[in-house]
Parts: sequence; structure tokens; C-alpha cells
Amino acid sequence: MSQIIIKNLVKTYKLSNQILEVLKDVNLTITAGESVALVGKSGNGKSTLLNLIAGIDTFESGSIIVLDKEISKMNQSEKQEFLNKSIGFVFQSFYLIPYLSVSQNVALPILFSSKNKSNIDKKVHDLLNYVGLLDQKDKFPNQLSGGQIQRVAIARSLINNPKIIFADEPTGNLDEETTNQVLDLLFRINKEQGTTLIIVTHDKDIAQKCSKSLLVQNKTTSPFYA
Amino acid sequence: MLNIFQVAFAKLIYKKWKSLILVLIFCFSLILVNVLLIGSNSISERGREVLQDSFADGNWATEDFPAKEGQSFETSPFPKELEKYTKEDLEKYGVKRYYQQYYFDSLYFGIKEEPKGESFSTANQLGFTDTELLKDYVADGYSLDTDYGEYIPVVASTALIDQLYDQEANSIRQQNDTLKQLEFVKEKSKEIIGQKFNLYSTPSSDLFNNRGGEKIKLKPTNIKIIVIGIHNNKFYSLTGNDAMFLPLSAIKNQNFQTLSQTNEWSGRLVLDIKNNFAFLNDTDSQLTRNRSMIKSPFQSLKEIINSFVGIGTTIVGIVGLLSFLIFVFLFGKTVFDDQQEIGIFKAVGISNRKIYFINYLFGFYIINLSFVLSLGISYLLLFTASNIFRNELLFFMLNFASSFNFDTNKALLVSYPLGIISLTYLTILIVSLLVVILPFYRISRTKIIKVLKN
Repeated sequence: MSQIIIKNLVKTYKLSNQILEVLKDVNLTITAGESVALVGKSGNGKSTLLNLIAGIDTFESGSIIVLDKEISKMNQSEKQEFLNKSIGFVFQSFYLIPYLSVSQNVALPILFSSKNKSNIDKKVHDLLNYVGLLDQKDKFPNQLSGGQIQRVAIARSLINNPKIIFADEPTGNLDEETTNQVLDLLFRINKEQGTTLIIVTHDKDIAQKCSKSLLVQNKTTSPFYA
Repeated sequence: MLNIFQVAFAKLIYKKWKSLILVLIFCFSLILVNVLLIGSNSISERGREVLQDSFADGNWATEDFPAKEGQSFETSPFPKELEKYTKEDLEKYGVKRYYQQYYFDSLYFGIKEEPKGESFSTANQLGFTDTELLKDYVADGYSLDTDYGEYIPVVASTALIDQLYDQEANSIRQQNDTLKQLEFVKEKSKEIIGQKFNLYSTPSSDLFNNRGGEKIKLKPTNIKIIVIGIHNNKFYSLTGNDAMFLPLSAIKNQNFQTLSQTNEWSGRLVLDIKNNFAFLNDTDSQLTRNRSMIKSPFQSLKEIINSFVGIGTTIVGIVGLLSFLIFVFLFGKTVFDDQQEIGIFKAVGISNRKIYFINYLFGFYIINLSFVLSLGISYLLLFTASNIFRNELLFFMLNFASSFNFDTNKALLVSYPLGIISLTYLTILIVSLLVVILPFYRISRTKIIKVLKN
């Protein structure tokens, strides 16, 4: 079953008087439970494509349908609700809230959503246990290592049981050992929970671990065989 | 687990703990300075020294405040307007020893006779109010003929005269050829009779009812009133805690027991010298034709105190406003550089409404914190200034209540009739609007994609 359907996607940027076309006539389909790597050189539009699919960025023409919803037809509040309930986002720079503890950061998306909050403590507990940070739950982000912070961010992305996880170079700021830990975690989630994983990376090794790899190059995507 | 209020508070603490600690250290230092100032000086002793210095400064002296060696009273100039009075005239009206030192421009009526200390403990004076006190006293069955009761009307009279002067006396009546009796009537419900040398009170109509309509005549109190001068520089006579309160409050709350020991406590009945000498010399018609002559005995003192209170409160008010704005800026400047956080909130799907509420609360906390801190610091600065000054010149007490309400208008009105009235409210309005509007602006301007790209 297709979860993401992109047709004839065009994305441009305005740079002073110049219009820069980043993506043109992109067409792709991603089915539920897949792990997809978007690879390519810097500036080729990998992250842009990811952001477009997540509804964070806007595009000029074409269509993106995610979980049967046309992204371009959503208004701002619908997009934020979509991000909150259906999507999990893992950023390269982690983006935790520094004044909230680990457990509070993990709970953040559900704290202010309309979802039932009755089991929130248990969910946070289970998730932190899942990512191996239960003993760090009362610490603050500045007391954690980079790998731990990223695992907290992953736990946060899972709190609402998303159907898709977007990870934008999630290991870009991590050393090799920590990278492996984080990747193992992401792929474990993909396999155990059936969550679709879309990951932006430069690393061919990461791409090899995915069920599908797409090369973003020359303004479009093509299958990538690592 | 966590609510919006807690998130906003956590944000405040996380982002501003350094500023908070600095401000608290500053406040603590000011408190320490005050403790040291208070601890290193006996205010009353120092006040007395200043008082004595001024009294014995060649202008006039008393037994308690004798002239310093080498000072000659006779050298003091005698005001021209008093030249028509002989020494005997003045002595007849209570100016016994000090008439030749009229350097002053006000007269000072004091209760010369020493009240009995044991009868006038502070506890007995607290809550004292003119007829109310008498009413309770009579209702309790006490006799006003006792030693204790004898002094009740004295104090009552003093206080009531204060009040009457403060309001408006309806008439002044001169009897015989000398001034023996002054009668002030206030709204018919209170009647006070004071003699120049004997003050006594008659109860109000309320008291008549308590005794079945029978009029109770209070015993004359034989309080001696002397006329003493106030130094030209009146501030010197307002040292220590005496200057903290307006005279009525002083009468109400002063510790008679202590004061009586000095034998020179005054009821703070201050009359303008011209009015006094009109009382002393002129005719009935002259006294009654111009009610402006009935000047509040405290007018001079009040004007002096008010001017200081006005200036001081204005300064404190401006300091308060400035420090408030500084704190708002210090604590709230992150308002301008918090885009990333909003982006993160948006990226995890928190609605704009809730993001706004978190930021609004953050601003609200900042405003309140700044308000409390600026008040605290203003007051501490004021208190420090008061402590320093009262050891040297005078003690002035500013109306902290006005500052607390952030209402400097009253003080500003004293100094500048309309000038900066709008400043206070304008500031509060602008800051409040910023707190409400700025989060809207920030949230609407923040796009997740911009944050992620950074």
C-alpha cells in the first residue's frame, strides 16, 4: 500500500532576482514499512525533498500525497496536526528544548496535542527504555552526549506512534560508534514497529541498510544502487 | 506531567537564572548596607545630637538643649514684626525665656507638662482616635477624673486640634482681653475646647447618648503650653523617626513613656508665626475676619515633608520605571532571538495557539518579575538613602504604597502638575502590548523550514 505518492513535483527558490529550480518533475512512490534513503551531493535537494514530503516546505507545482492527504491542500493548522500525529521528525541538529528534561522533551508532542494523556508517563517510560535512556530521564539535554541527545530526539519522534519517520542526516553530527547506535535504533523501529523510515544521508553504508535508495541528482530522483 | 504554565516558567528559569542571581545579589548587598547602617548608628541618639546642635546654634536654647559655650542669644536679631511686643507680653503668652532668639519663622507649641509615663504606654495609645477613644473610655465605665483619665482629653484635644486644623476650623473665639480659650467646632458632631494653658475636651453627641443624654464635662487638664521656636532650618528639627510620620500619626503612635522622659516632647502643634501673634495680640474681629489665618498648625511641617516626599517619590518612581524597563529588556530580550524554539515547537506539531500561550506566559512572568524586582530595588535604594540621610540631615519617608501600586502620578503631581503623569501608564501599556503582540509577531514570522536550515 502506497503511503507517499509524489507526482510531477517542482520546487524553486528565489535568490534575489534569480529563480533557482531545485526539483523538477519528481515522481516517486513509497509504500508502508519501507526504509528509504535519499542520497546525493550537498545542495542537490535531498533535504528539500524530505521537507516537502513532511509538509514543512512548500512547492510550486505537482502533488504530494502522504497517508491519503494532499499536502498542498492542508492549511497551517492541519499541517501542524499532521506533523504532530502522523509524522515523526529527527533532525541533524537534534533540536531538543534545552530547559525541559529528557522525559519532558520526549513527551512534548503529546503534551499539547488533543490526544489522550492518561498513559503519557508510561509511554515516555517505555520509549526511553526502548532507546536505552531510562536512567537519564530527569537530565537535561546539556547533560547528555550527542548520541544520547539524538536518541532522545528519536524517542520524541515516536511518542505519537507516527506512521512515518523522517530523518534528516540524523547522524551527521555524531561519531562512528554513536552513529551506529542511532542507526540501529532507527532501523529497529522500522522493522519492529513497521514504521516507514525516510532518511537523508551522504553515507552509502546507510543507504545499503535501507530497503530502497533514491539518488537525488539533476533536480530529480532515480534509483540508487549502493 | 507538565503544563503550559510550567513550560513557560521552566523557560524563564533556564534563560534568566544568571540575571536573577545578579539582581538578587544586588538586592542582598543593599540589604546588607542597610543593616550595617542601622547597626552602626543609634538613630535616636544621633537625631538628638543634630537637634541639639540646631537648637543650640545661637538661635534659641532650652534646658534640655542648652546653648553651646560662647553662644550668645542676645546677639540674635529680633524680628521687626515682634518689636511691638515687650518681653513681658511675650512671657505672658508663654514665651518665657526664648523670645529674644526669634530666628524662627514658625512657632512650636509643646505640651510642657510631663504626662505620667505609666499611664501612657504605647499600647494605650495605639488605635487612639479623638472621640472614638473617649467614647470607649466612657463606655467602659472609667472615670475621667482619675489620674489616668485626666490625660485622655489632653491627648484627645491635641489630636483633634490636629484634625481640625487639618480640615477647617469653623471659628476661633477670643475671650476677655487675653487669649484664654480657643474653640473649634467641626461638623457639629465634635466639639473641642482648648485653652491656651488648659486644654480640655467635651465629648461628642455620641457620648451624650451613652449617658442618657447627660452631658459629661471633662476635667480641665491643666496642660501647660509653651511657645518655643523652630529653627529657620526646620529640617533639623525633623530628625529620626519623628519625621517619618505626619504630626497626627506622631501623636497617635509616639511612645509617650519615652518621650515624656525627655521632658521636651512637643505635640507638634506648629503655627505660623504671624497667625500666632495675631492670636496673641489682635482683636477678635481681626482673628475672625480672615479664616485663612486659621492655618493648619502642621501646614509648614506638612509642606516641608510633602515637598520631600514628592521629590523623593518622584525619584523613586522614575528609578522604579527605569529599572522596570531595564529588567524587561534584560529578561525579555530573548523575545527577539527565540525563533528557533518556535520552529521546534512547530516541527513537533504543537499548535500556534499553544506556542503563543507559552510565549505570552513567558512574557507575563517577565513583566511581573521585573515589576517586583524594580519595586524591591527602588524601595531598597530609598531605604538606603533614608538611612544615610537621617544620620546626617534628616529622615524622610516616602510613600512606598504609591510606588507599590506603581502609581507615581501622585508624586509627579507634587513636582510637576501634569508633566509626566502619562509616563507610568504609557510605559505599562506599551510593555503590556509588547507582551501580547510580540509572540503573535514572532510565531507568524517563524517558518519551520528556516529554523531547520539554520
